[in-house]
Amino acid sequence: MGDLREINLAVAIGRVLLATIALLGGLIVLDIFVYLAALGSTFDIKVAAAFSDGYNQGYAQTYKVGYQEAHGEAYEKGYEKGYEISLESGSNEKVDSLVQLHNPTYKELREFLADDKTDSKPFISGEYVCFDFAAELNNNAEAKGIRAAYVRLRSKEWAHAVVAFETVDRGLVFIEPQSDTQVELAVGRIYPWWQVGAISPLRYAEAIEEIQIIW
Amino acid sequence: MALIGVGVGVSTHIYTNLTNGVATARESGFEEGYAQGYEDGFKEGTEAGYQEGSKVGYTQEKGVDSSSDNLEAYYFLYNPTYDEVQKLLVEAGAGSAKEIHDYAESNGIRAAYVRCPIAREAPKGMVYLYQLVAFETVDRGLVIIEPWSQREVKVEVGESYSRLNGFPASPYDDAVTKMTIVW
Repeated sequence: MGDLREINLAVAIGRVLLATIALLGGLIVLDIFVYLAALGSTFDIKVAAAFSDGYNQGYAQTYKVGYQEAHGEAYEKGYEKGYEISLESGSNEKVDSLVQLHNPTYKELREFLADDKTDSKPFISGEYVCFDFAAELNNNAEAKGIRAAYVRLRSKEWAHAVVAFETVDRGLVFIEPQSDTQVELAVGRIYPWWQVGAISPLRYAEAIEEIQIIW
Repeated sequence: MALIGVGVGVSTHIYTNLTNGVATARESGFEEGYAQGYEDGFKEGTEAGYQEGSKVGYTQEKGVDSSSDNLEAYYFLYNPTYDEVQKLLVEAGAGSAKEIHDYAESNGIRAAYVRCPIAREAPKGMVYLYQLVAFETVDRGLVIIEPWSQREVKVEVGESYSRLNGFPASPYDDAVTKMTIVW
């Protein structure tokens, strides 16, 4: 009987030990998993997602308020000025205050680009560079009554400029003025220098950090 | 037992940190979005309201239907008087060239972004530049404004920007090397 008790006691102690080891192992594995997740991208992704979620909620709450507050008064101001200009343009005096612009259709934009010769100019380092291409294309469009925007792009290592048009049928379209090629832009992406026929800077692989649209 | 306690403690600590980080990020995101949403809404509401109002005002006197197809893509801008520029600057307050430019165009006033690189030596592939705003006033011609001080300035290629405008002498070479006006 004495031997049996000793065996039962040993088995019981063994079981407790095994259970403790299993529990400890489980906790250690869990800690390692949580720790790695916290240090790694999971933590960053969760924080970024939370920020984005909060941002969108806040944005949605106030955007309409701001829009509606501004709209009525601006409508009245616009109405008065539009009416005033229409009276001026009906008179015999030369009127140079009204600037008639319009957002083009995509087809009209392509026709304008085909006619415009900015893209055939040579890139001359230090003299006629990307900013000059963009400014000229922008100004040529506006001279023809087509609304255009000068778009500044910046990374840590370079700056570039393209032109944007708010087409009535295809929305916002970005054009590389050195080639008239349409280009997709996004912060965090690398500018596709070669694909769109643009002269690239030395550190071309730096991603776009900022896109600034100046209408 | 002590080891189990440590394990549970560490797990709790990490989980709490993660939860707090997420909550803080959500809160700061909300605050930023709340402010930006209003600002964007106000700006876009101003622009849309102005464009809609000017279209109706402009076409009404002429007896044209403001909803007709040829006016669908219409965008109304006008060159201001000098006084209108001064009034606009007071309303807009000091800001960057883009901010003043955008404020002007939201209110129907045609404005240009002026890019003036200067001679100051910069890292390869980069330039230092002044960013200004211009208006083609109907009574005084082209007027260039330094947006932060809101002062009217002169720009001449080859001339020191600070000397030409009576600003304190610049510690670097601020001769303007080029001026590009983007309408």
